[in-house]
Amino acid sequence: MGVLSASTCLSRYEVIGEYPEEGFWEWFNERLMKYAFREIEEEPIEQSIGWVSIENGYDSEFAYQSYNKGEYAIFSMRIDKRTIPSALLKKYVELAFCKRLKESNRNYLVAAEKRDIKAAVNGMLLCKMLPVPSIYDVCWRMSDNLVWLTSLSSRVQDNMVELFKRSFDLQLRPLIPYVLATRILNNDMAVQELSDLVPTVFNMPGGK
Amino acid sequence: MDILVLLEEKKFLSREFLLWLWFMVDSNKDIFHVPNLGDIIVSIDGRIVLESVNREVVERIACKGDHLYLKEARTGLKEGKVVEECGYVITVRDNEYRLYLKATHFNLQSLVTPKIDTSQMESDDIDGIYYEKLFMLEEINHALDGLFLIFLKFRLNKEKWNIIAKDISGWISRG
Repeated sequence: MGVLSASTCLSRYEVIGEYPEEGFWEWFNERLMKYAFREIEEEPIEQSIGWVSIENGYDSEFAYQSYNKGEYAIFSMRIDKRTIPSALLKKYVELAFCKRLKESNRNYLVAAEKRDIKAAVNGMLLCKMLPVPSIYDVCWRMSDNLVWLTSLSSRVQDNMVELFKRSFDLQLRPLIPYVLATRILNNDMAVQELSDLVPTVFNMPGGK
Repeated sequence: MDILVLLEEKKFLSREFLLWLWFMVDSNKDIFHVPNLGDIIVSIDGRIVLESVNREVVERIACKGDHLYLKEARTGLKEGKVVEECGYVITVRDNEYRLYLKATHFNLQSLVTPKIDTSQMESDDIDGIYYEKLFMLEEINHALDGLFLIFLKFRLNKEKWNIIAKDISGWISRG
């Protein structure tokens, strides 16, 4: 689900930290490229996460600076993940256990052997699975330090916060209602009053 | 304060906001003035989800947003349930937005923006489409923040909020 989809969703964040205003796009390009998405088709790696172009989720070269949209930087986070179905893993681990027992002429395996076999089988199967891509759009409005992400999944959001921190050395704070309230009130006294508020009891006669 | 603690402790604030907005719309006070946007119109659309609080097992009811089902949702309020999620149509200038808001995180769910008119654009003007969409996302975010700010100003004014809370209580008890 991307920014241009007919129906989308947005989780919202505020950016905490300093970044250069002058030379912003050079700095941004360098950081984005450093943490751009890397393909893992040929490597036995379970997951790869990185930035790609919003206009083409298979482009991590960012030709023509497609992310530069005036006061916005827009780009995408791509997550490729290999998943081994548990039944498949179970089958090949059992087969490998049997093979080792036969080869060693024993009727038991110690825990360390079992662990090593499981890891080897896992690695062997990972190589055979194709990584499945998923892509989420990111809009960063620099004028008021806001970021929108087109996902409501907490796993994707955690990945985003972590990747953003690594890439730009900036924190993303979720704009949960209370944080949003302090931000839009923008007044110390009102924020203090807000923190002292207690829930209203509505459904009593003459509710408080 | 830790974000998870804040989320739990201050959840009542966004639940009260969703309740207030429902009450306002139901009382035909559905036009709100937001600086820089002008008058925006809010209506309830889709489903309303209510949750029981202060119980070990969370009980949820989901009601579709037409008149008959809203009555059922109002009965839920009478039983002490709180609004957890609500669907809206929000009209800003000539633009109509549909979305769901959840009290917990205030994320924008199932957001449908107006269709982008590409008739005046060059066929390869992908930038134009992105700028138009960003404008719309900015507009609806601004509208929601504006509505929340109107609520907060009432909520922080003890005298005004007491009057509103009394009206909301009466509205709930009438069912």
